Amino acid sequence: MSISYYGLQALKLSAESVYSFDLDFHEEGFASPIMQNRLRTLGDIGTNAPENWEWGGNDTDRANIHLLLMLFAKDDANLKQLCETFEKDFVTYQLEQVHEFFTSKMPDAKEHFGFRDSIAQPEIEGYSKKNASENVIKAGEFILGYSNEYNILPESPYAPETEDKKNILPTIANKKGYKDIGKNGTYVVFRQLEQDVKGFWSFIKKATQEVNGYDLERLGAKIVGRWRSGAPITKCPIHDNPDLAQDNDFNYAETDTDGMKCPIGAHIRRSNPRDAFMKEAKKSILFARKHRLMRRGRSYGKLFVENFDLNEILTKPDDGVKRGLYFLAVNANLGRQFNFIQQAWINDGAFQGLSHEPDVLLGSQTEVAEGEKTYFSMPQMPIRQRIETPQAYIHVRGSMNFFLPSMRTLQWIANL
Amino acid sequence: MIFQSFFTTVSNIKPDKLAELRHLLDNDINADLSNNKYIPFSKLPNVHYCRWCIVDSAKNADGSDAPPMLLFQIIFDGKREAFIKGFLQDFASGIDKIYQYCEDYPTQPTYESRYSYFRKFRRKEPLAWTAVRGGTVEQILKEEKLRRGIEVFLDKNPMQQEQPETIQQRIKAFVSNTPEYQWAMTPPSKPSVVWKLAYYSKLVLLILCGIVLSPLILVFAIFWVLLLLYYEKQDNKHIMPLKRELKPEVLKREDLLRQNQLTEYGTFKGPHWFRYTNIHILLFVSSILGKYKSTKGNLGGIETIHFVSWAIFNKNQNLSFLSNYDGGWQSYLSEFIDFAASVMNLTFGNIKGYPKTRWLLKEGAHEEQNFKMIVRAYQYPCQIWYTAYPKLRVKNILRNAAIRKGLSRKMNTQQLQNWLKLF
Repeated sequence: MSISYYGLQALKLSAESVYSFDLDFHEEGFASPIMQNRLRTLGDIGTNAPENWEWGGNDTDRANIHLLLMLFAKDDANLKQLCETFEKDFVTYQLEQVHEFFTSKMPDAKEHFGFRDSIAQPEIEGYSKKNASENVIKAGEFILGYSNEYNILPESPYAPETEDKKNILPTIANKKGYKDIGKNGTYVVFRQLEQDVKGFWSFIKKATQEVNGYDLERLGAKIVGRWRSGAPITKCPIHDNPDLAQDNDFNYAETDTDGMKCPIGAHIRRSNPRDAFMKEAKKSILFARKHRLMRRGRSYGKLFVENFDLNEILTKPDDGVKRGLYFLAVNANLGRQFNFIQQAWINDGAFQGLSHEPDVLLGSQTEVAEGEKTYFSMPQMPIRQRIETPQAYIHVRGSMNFFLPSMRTLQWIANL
Repeated sequence: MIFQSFFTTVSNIKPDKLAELRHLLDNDINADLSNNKYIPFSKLPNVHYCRWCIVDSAKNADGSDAPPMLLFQIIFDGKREAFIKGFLQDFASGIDKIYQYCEDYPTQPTYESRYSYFRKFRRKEPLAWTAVRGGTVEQILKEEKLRRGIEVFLDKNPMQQEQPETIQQRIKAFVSNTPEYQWAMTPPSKPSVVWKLAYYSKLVLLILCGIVLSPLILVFAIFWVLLLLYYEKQDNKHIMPLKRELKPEVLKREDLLRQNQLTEYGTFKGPHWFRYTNIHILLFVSSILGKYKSTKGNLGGIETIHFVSWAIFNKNQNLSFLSNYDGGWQSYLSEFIDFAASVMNLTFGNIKGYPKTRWLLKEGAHEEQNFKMIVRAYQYPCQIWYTAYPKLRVKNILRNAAIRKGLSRKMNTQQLQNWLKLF
């Protein structure tokens, strides 16, 4: 269960406590400079703008979203039962369900375009079996109350002692007279991303005709950075190797500096540049470690084509069914983690010196709106090839941040 | 070769005219930077960046409110005096319109009195750094057009099966046969021999001075560091709590383009003479490093700064940091924290409200969220901010320059391969 900024107010946290939350978690009306800036930096403009969202896209609807409840069960029957139990509780406790999100089970952990998703996840230090891998990240990057990658405690929301008469909350470091609301809690970014499966693969099909030596699978893999199986193209650039389907043990600096295998602008390379963000690999890793997310996405909507057969996708008429991904990301510092990645790495057409190349999958359409053409280039010997990327095939349909509290904080809130 | 120059002034605003000035800058000029009737930037082809910023909540050294001030900075190609004279002449009515709201501005301005006013209120930047030395606005814009042209040529003429030499020849033929791009076949101008001689002899002189005075410098440095450590201990006892806030006036103007500006303004800690001397020493050393070491668009690991400068104002009580940078605030600040936190401590550490430091270099900017908070707290919105090439990053500019250079340069196989990778 997680709580929105408006939810904190509805749950009667004091103004001082609400203010103590991450400033990037604070909300105002969409017309405010703060929200306008947030929309710009996240790229939520044009087709991604709030007026096109299915929920939370206008001030009234948004202010009514207080809680995000996520229910998990081992099968449909159990889930149904669980939902019914909660629905009864909603009536008892005068809660109104404002939106409902159904998820679908996807074969081989794939998303709707057919790519295996969620492979590169950070592991938490102290929780992971590995000790000193560059993928093992300090707990404080994902959970409040623990040391982060700067070896300091992340900012945590707090409440005056006087608001915790039953002494439920833990004390907070360096803040006398206050208790820690955040410890063992974190922030969750929740975004609904609608995917246009037919549109995406038709675009790739057309693009294969503009370049030499690429079929659908290979061009798609170049854009994503992984084959649909999940195998990273930096390791198997010419042909898919399903044995590497869940491989996350690779870097770019030594074997793929110029992006000849995995292009600089490929989705996975720009959302986590690993050791190749800067000339010095070690520095790059240290930098990249401070901009990681723990992703827990769930797909929704019926599959467009079973087995993700590309020929069938291209020939079948569009079915008008809405499908996509509920993107869920956990981070302790919204500005430095989610917002940063979205703005500096995904949306930025000049990422690492590229020109007009926002991420093909999730990049913002700011440049297109300005009348610029956008591209995706594939470095190769002796000279690169590039394709035009005229529009987006994934559209934001809702976006909101939530605070995921610890059990203790929930208990404290219940006693307010 | 033409070099870029900075010109910075700070004027006191007549307190009762603050609102009118704000309105003029915000509504009449900023609403249409290119073609407004006062300062139409479309008629200033040699200007890289320009800003007017109202600094209305600075503090004097004793903690009292400083008068509202108008900060102006313009960065342009060519010699300072000639440019400013022309600027004040060509845009006299616009300048008069703005500065009528400032103290000491002549009521009946003439060409001479206008110029002497600007000379009087000019503040020399102890450190002014340029990412692409000698890259004029004209050259930057032309080289971008050239790159775009070649890229489209490459798109239309697939050459994956060709030899690198053939591709190079075809690109060269395309450029020399397109009237719009022919200029690019001549190499960019280089610094003159006289300039180079002066540049390197200054370095030699500095090194010699350094060697000769090294015993003195060493003794002074030890004494100075001990003093710094003493004051650090004192400072840490009274850290001012700062308001942690999102600044709507700043956010309103941020991320509208792919570049941003930062205007930071702070008050020196006490004792005043010591902080003032300290910052001068630091900025002097940094300016030498900036001039001789950080010459390739990379300032101490940060590759997103186009121009940056420091200036000292208000009877030497205030320090300002003005930068024109690529991308968003979060990533810019993250780069500072990750690559230059200790430098931030040494410089911004002289400013009131700076977070606690330890051994001068530790903590401070290493405390990420705390540091970002103080930067926001001392950040002022800029009523007017102009950039001549909002879509270009430092990296783009350097790459475009390398592409153009390659057109007229002899290259071996490896160099040619690398040149082709630029596209």
